[in-house]
Amino acid sequence: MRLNEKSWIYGGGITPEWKWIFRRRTREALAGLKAAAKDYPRRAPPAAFKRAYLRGLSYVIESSGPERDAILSHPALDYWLFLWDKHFAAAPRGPEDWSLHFGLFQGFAAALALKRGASLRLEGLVDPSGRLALYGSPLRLDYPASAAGKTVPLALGKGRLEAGGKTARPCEEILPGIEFEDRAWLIAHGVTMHGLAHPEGEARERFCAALRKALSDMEARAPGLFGEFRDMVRVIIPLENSMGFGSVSSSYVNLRGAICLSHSGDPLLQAETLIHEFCHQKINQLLVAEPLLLPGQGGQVFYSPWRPDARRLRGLLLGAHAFLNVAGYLLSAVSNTSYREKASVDSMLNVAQRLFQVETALRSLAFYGAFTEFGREFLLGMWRELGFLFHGMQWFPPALVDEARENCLKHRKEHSLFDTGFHKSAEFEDKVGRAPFLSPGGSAAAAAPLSVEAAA
Amino acid sequence: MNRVERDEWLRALLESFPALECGELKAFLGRLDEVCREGSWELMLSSIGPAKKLGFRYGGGSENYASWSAAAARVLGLSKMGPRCCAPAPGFPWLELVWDPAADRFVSGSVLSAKSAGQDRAFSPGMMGHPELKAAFAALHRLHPVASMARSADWWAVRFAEPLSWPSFLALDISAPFAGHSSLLSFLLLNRRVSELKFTEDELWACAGK
Repeated sequence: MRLNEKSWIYGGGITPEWKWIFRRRTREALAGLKAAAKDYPRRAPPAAFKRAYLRGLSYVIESSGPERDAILSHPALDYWLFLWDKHFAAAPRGPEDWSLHFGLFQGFAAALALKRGASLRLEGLVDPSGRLALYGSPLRLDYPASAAGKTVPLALGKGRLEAGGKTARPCEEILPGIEFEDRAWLIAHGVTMHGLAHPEGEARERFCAALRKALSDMEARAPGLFGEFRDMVRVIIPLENSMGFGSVSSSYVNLRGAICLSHSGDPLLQAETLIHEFCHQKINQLLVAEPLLLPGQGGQVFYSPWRPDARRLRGLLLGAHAFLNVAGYLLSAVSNTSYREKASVDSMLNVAQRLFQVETALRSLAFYGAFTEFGREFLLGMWRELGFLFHGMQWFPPALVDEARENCLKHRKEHSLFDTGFHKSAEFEDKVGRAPFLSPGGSAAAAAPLSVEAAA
Repeated sequence: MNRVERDEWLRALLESFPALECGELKAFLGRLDEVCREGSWELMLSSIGPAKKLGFRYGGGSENYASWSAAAARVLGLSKMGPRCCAPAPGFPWLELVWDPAADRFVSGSVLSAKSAGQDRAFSPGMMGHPELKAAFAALHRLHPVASMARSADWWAVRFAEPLSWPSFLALDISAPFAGHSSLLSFLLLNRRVSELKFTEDELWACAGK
């Protein structure tokens, strides 16, 4: 399918190509499950093999329809398949690992059977955090941590769940279908940046309320992007902000559909963070089916306008895309009459800085990257959208725009190698003794021999 | 680069890094220039950075190979010459010097005959034995076509169809060993191009200078 780059640069909504990319992902997940189902009876140690586990796996594989596709595109399944590929596909593992891996999978099968009203008997496994999650549904069975590794008989039929007398409770949802999860193992284990937060009571309510307001604003201001967000994002994971930054957030290529972020009472900041992380997720999903950069370009690190450390071309591409979307969203927010007041100065500065940073990143991508045909269209499209956004901020106070430009230039001077797109490594020192007329205030050139012959 | 361009580069190096002495290097090159008056020079950068080792390669006209290589061998203090009548192909470098800037001395030097320089063969990724190497070189070949490959007992090398700019080279997966010194090397090489990659047991060399 020939993709339209505009739909991927900004939120194009649920288009046929969005669905096509989604199907590519579910097909890939299904192939991964089939490989695991084939290997499990052959390679699992006898002590770790259970027919009930294989039944759960086969049930998901043999089902069809949107409910099954929703399971196949769940971030927890992404992580389950990542663990399978990384730890089981080639190297031998112990029986505990096999039991944990295939035991946790039963949560997916149970959630699917529950949604479809199917009759199925499974053996669930309490995960290392003491939770048995029905991934793909909000239902959770919570046990004391000492119950980790315990098996629980699960009987499903007519949309009901019997779990050895234990009642499953729904976890918090930000919106229907978007779970707020901080414990379930297949979600929490893959979160390695920043610490997980476990807000309770009022703190939890405040966390969720700010996110609901942010999403409600996003729906009004960027309906296409919101539609995609609702279709792809299934889990929000709370993070600690122990260093007291404005906000911390992360997302992972092996947890597509999960966004991690810290709390803020500012819905605009939360929207900015959600959009930023969602854009990474969206591009990660796109890249599986449609590469933008040609392979073989991971050798070098480049100057990043957003950080003091360097980034690879792929990181610059993801950053430019995310911040272009963030700047576009914030510009639409501050351009709204009600925002044209003192409080919006920070947002205006934020927009202007983001645009200058995106310009720098796109410059490096254009300088050094080798792109696919679609990638070239995508890059050119981002340049064009950046131009439109510069038009959109003409009413900003010139002094504020100058400040944003200066901030970016200062960062660039500090961390990039002159006017190239290269990152300046810490040990790099410019020791060229330039003549004073070339560098006012500089030192005179050291006397250097004019030719090798003369010196010899 | 020709001799004048090589000296210009060397002068820029000394102005950029005044701590370098280069005394032996300059004396050595001066003596070589007396016997090898024509031909072209290439700069070789090792993957562990210019602070460690720099290489120089010289390739003169093959018709003068016998007399020039004998003279170069004398300058280098090499006792043995390559086999007679094994002049390299025209344009192919036959003199290789490795210099340690920190110690201001040459650590190796050799006169290569066609035999010791390895046979040049048209390249295809399938020539790589290991599947991972095959995939890596297929990606490289797609981005920047490789014209030929040479093998010897101690090294192997791939030569690009068109020399590629140093920044484009540094974007490649295969240049990852240079990443730690990329700003220094970029400053050193300015807008020069990479024509060949040479792999030894423990080093990757990029041959630049076009």
